[in-house]
Amino acid sequence: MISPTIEIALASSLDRVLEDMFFVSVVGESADADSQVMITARLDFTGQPCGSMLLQVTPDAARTIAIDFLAEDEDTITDSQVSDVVCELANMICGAALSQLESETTFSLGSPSVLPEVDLSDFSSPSVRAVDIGNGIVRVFLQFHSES
Amino acid sequence: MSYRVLIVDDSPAMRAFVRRVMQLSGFELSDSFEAGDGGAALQVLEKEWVDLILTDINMPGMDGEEFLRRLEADEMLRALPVVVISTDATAGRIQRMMALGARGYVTKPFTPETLRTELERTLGVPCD
Repeated sequence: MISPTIEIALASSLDRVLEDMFFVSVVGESADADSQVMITARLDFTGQPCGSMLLQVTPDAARTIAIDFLAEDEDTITDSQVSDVVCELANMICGAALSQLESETTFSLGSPSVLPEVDLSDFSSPSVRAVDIGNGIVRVFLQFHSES
Repeated sequence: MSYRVLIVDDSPAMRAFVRRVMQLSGFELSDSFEAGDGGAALQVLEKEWVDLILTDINMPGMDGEEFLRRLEADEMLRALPVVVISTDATAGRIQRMMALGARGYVTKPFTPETLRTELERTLGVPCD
């Protein structure tokens, strides 16, 4: 069963990171993310808690976010820069959510990377948040793993 | 007053963002240097003197904690003010980084005003 606390932390972290750092307003929740082609980044974290996060962004939205974040021109921004910004977005959302959930413990975030293909095999019962940001969709899967 | 700043983060996007936000906040940079981890930052500091260091914690290679330990172990470098910029807002992490010698701590996400306020507090002066 998914804890409401995790859902709230994920939702508030996603919205706050998008607004404060990427100057993007959330229009509302999105229900049609499954039908979209998405750029996907994965980030694993260790410590207390440990787990994984997937961040998915539709390509046009990712490009807009990267242009705004880097103050680049639309004509000059590269796919590598877009990927780098998507990874940084994943890093911030994950860190912000975990900090809300576990204020007294320590976790360590790994390096996020963009995946060539979506693999949800490690996400058996994730907390999910998908939002519409006007020109696209941002979706997050957060999965805690039991400690080995 | 203008400052020479070293920004340490494994994300080129984040380094560029921090530099831009500092400038937009009225923080005048005479020079800015960048490094992808603590080891690369120490190499920069062998050649360049800076007024302020901004560093991430989680980085491949030398992370922010080890970087702070190396700075503290050096008689010259320990005088440099360091502000940590991290997604990790847990009390334990903040206390540990401050105990290792950080003078300021900014958690991501942050607004330009938050960064400016912390930089002014750390340096003890208004930035413009």
